[in-house]
Amino acid sequence: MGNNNIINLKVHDIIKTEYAVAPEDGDILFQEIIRAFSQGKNMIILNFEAITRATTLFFNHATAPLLKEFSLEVISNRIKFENVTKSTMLLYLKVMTLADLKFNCPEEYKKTLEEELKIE
Amino acid sequence: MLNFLKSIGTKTFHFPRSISNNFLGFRHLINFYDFAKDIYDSKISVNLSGTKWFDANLCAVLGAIFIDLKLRNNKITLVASLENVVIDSFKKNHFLKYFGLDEAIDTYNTTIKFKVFSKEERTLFQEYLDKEFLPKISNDISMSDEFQAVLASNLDEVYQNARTHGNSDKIVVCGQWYPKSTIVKLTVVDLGVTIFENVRRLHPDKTPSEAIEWSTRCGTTTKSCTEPGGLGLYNLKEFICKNSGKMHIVSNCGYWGISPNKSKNISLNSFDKSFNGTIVNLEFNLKDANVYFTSEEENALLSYVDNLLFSSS
Repeated sequence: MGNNNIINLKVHDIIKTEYAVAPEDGDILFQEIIRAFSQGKNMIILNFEAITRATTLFFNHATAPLLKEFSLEVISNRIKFENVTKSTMLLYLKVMTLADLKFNCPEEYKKTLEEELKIE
Repeated sequence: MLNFLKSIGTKTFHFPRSISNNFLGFRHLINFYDFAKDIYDSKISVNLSGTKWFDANLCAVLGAIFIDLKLRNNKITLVASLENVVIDSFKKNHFLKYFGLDEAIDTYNTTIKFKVFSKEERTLFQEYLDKEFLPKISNDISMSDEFQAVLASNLDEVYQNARTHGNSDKIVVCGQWYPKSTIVKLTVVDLGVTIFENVRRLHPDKTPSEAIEWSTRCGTTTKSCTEPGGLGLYNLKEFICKNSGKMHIVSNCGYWGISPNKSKNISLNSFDKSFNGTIVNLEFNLKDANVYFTSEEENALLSYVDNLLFSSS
């Protein structure tokens, strides 16, 4: 894959804060990701340098909506991470796994919820 | 006639001997909220002369009610002796300072200051965590970077929930650090849309406490079926359980609480009066904060991380 098809998005420069926590900032990053895809970029590197921490709300807005258009496998191949902590990656994975279930396997999602609500 | 009478004279509310982080403590605070909620253009006397203990983090609830009262042009007077320890703690954590009254030096450096945020402030709460909350506790104990990040991220979620789901103009926060027992408490309050109001759009059959319980489950969200969500409160609950901490949520007349042990013992209850907002009350046990343990499920997810990291080779 040539370098022209790869773009490095520095999250801190895009959302203008070290805290990737607010849903509005997630929306801003999402727009940048969509723009990159529309420009023909095959791989997007989300560079979390200088980001202190993140929330599930942020990823619900920044990356989970991609699952309406692409499969989790495609997203995993096209979106990579750099300079990111283990705890931030864990949040991302939790959000994407749940959102994938919700959008792409609604029956299984419904069953998972029902099982969850039966506990205790 | 009744409405006219509500706008004249001084109205007095007496707080009881003790206000603590438990169902009874919240009930007393909700009684005060109910007392105050329809009063306007009046003088309110808040009598603390018989109060010997007031959990400092619960200033967030008191403060939210005071702000609400002042919006309706009420004047508030606190009644207590000068030596009252409760008033002393209110001075140290800057609760009184916010309302234009005295402050005092926090000689033990254990208060986590009373603070009011506006809905528009996306990240000021995070700065508060980094400059006020985390430094207080990390002075006395060793916290791993990972534990600290997860703790702060979970608190970030609570704040962002109050901004988005609660849609509240003001979000009020206060905490207290207890270095001897290595416990830190933090309370986040909003007077916006309650959990019950949000949940009943989807589940009109649920009571206020059932609505809170529903909202803490994995994957449950009041967002539409085309929007992702449903992890914030669940993650926080899991963290508290792992941590052997405590968590209480009060919204409308619903109460939800989780016990300080690892058995996820949840209690639901109802108040006879309603709080038109949400209180999230947290207690973290920092005895073993030098390491963060991931669960089996989390370890399974983390096994995918290497595939997601960019490698230039």
